[in-house]
Amino acid sequence: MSSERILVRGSALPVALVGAILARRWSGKGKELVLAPEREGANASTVIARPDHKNVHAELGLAIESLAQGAEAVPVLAVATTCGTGQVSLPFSPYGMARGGTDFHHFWRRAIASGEQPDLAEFSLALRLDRAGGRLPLSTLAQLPLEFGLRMDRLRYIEVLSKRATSLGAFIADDAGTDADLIVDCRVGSNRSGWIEDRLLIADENDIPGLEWQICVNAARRFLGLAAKLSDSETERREYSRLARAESARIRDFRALLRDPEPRETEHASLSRKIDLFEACGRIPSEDFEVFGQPEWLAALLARGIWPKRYDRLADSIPDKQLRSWLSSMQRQIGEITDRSLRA
Amino acid sequence: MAAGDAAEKINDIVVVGGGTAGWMTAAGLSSMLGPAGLKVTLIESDSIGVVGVGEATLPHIKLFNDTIGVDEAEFMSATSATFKLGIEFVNWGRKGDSYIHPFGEFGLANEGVAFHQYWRKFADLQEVGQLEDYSLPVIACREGRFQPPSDDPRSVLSTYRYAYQFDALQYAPFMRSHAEKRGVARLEGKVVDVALEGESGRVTSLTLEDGRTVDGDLFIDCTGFFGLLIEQQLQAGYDDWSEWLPADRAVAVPCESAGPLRPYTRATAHGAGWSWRIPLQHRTGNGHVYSSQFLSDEEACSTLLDELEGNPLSEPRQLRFVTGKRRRLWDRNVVAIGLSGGFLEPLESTSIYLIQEGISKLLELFPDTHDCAVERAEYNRWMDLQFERIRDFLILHYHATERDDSPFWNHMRTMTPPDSLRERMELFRAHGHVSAYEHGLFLVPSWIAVLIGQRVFPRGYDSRVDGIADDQVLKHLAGLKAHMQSAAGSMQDHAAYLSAMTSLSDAA
Ligand SMILES: Cc1cc2nc3c(=O)[nH]c(=O)nc-3n(C[C@H](O)[C@H](O)[C@H](O)COP(=O)(O)OP(=O)(O)OC[C@H]3O[C@@H](n4cnc5c(N)ncnc54)[C@H](O)[C@@H]3O)c2cc1C
Repeated sequence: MSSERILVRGSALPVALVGAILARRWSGKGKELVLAPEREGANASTVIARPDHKNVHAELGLAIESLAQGAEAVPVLAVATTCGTGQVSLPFSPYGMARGGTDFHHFWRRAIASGEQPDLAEFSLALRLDRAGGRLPLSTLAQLPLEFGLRMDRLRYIEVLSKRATSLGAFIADDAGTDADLIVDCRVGSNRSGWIEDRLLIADENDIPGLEWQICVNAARRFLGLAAKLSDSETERREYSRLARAESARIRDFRALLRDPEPRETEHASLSRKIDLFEACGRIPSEDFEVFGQPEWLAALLARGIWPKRYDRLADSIPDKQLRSWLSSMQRQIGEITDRSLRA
Repeated sequence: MAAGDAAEKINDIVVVGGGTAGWMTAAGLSSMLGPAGLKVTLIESDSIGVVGVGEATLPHIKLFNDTIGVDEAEFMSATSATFKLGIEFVNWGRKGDSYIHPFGEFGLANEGVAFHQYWRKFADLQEVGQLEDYSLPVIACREGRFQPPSDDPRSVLSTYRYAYQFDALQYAPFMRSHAEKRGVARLEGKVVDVALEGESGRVTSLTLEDGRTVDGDLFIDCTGFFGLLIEQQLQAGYDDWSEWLPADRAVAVPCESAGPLRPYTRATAHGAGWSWRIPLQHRTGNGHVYSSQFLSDEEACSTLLDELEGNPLSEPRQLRFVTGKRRRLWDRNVVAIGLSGGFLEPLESTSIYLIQEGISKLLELFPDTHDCAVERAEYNRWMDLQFERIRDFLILHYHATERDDSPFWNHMRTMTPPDSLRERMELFRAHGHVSAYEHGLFLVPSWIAVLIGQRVFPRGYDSRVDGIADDQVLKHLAGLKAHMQSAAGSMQDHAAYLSAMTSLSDAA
């Protein structure tokens, strides 16, 4: 069996992250993985790992407690970013609680239709905790029904990942040249991605917190899901690029919703669909290979002033009085949990 | 209220048709939206009757039954149902072949590499055996065993799902009893006239043969192949897919049961189509689906009768269809659910699933008023995607074949498949990878089962398999195979399990 060499090069964090994931799942006899990271800028600060971090770090054998120590990891329940109308907080967990399979925001919308003025964010435990600004201990978080990401010190996270990658068999080289069967070019910040001949390009803008991390994870997984002899991978390359294009389209839509001056005027059918359907009935249709979760889409749509004209008919299944008492007890409970969690 | 003003609230739903689609829809809408004030009326015509076939289902139906509060044992008794763990395909890749498409996975992924990749490397070794030797539901099918899956995700007995095979003529009445309990009003009568509103073209009311008129806001066309509202009135159009799926007729006949009660449906390929065999508690359902371009009705009927396992219980019945789907499944204020919306031949038991999908999507997008163009467009987009992805999967069975023993098979083997399918086949042929999607009925394990079953054998495999020493992989395969065998051996006999379940339910 002839050996194969993959060279991962580019920005330090993507190289370390992609490198560690590949080292875990693309290693062993006849496989050589070389990482050639560029030096991280002196002003490098933090990195956000999205909720998928649980799976990624479990795969890599990195316990959350060790990341807390080694990379100063702290839980993040929502991320803030800019949008056309200012700032928006994008929560990782759903607002309120679904009922009978119907998302909470339809019940909230129904309350508005009957003349009340509840703030949706008041029903988001994630946003309430995030706004309160306390540091939740991981042990407390584990008991709450919340998805969370991690905020880590960038340089220390790179160090943890690089160590893990080398312990899994990868080599780190300052000057690795270009002698490889596949060169993985990590250029998050530019906008080309795909697998063309012997170049696999991992790229997108890094303008939404957590995006850089997720793009790298998805790219490494996509490659692994199509692993084959590198010299005989033409069909796999096409498939990789197709999937990468789908991912880019999902990110493009989200970014356009956040930042385009007039997102309603988008030329992209998949984004128009989201805007139109949400506006018509409060549903957010999902495409294959979404990158952002429904709560994030919901927050972004509302932040851009796109409001559902009506709520889902299924939300009519409880009487008015019951709806009101359910909403107020939920609001109270969320308040109590927030207070208790911050005191813990 | 009739479908007049666009801003008026939609509350009166009229379902036309009392077959499986009509009663499932009425039951689904009344359980979910009845509490929200929706009124559902169903019209059916005894003089027209139902199609009376459609007996094999997919695991999703359990979710539907659970959602509307059906008790499983009561349902099994009332519909003479049996359990189903998959579909056996006989003579498809080559004459003499048999494989099962199970409702479950093959083996266990290892180090992030799919199981079938390890199997592929050593598939030539006799002791490694067939891919299906590593599927618990396949072994259970072959041995006639069934029990519900374990709740313990660590157990190999949790690696499958199940569906039902039931008497089509008993299922709709069973759904009817559920729907009526939830307030659905039933009207018997034939719809002879449909009133449309001039400007909007919406349906406003229906007239029955005896002169009664029925007003409504939203009409669900469940009139089967008639497409009474969606096509005869609204002319929504039809995408004809017979270019890829040329079977256009079926002949069906039930027969007495013989032999063990199998927990699977069988689909046997013939010279110009295929036949189904569906074991029920009290009889076996049979039918032959074929292309009239390649086979006469008489030949089709005699092929079917020749292979019956017991005496026929009625005269064979002919059915005609065109494979495809309605161009707009929701047009104006009419939604077509069931055969009125389209038909993909029953090779993978997908029609009842599509009914279910139509109901859930309608519930999700249920309109408030007639001003619902966006909801309508999304419904149609979603259902089109479902139909198209199922279509590709069905074509795979015919196109990926080595059979060259009849003009029909030569046509199917050499035709140009849709690009979406061609690309999938190429990808799998290269190194056994399956092109994934998230929104579609058949997921990766199903594609693997049918691709391998149809002899689409990958040229290579995931290169990471070579990272593990051969003897280690072989030892793992042998261990897993033995484990699957013994786990399947610990399951109960299908007939015994069923009889215990239904006698308990009858006693209650
Ligand atoms: C050969 C064959 C095999 C199949 N096998 C399977 C299978 O194994 N699995 C599966 O999932 N599906 C299968 N199907 C599909 C399945 O049979 C149908 O999806 C299912 O039975 C639903 O049919 P339906 O209710 O749409 O139509 P039908 O059963 O035809 O019902 C139509 C209803 O409309 C009423 N009606 C029609 N016109 C009027 C009118 N003018 N006025 C009043 N009422 C009217 C009729 O009285 C009837 O009640 C099969 C179909 C065929 C053709």
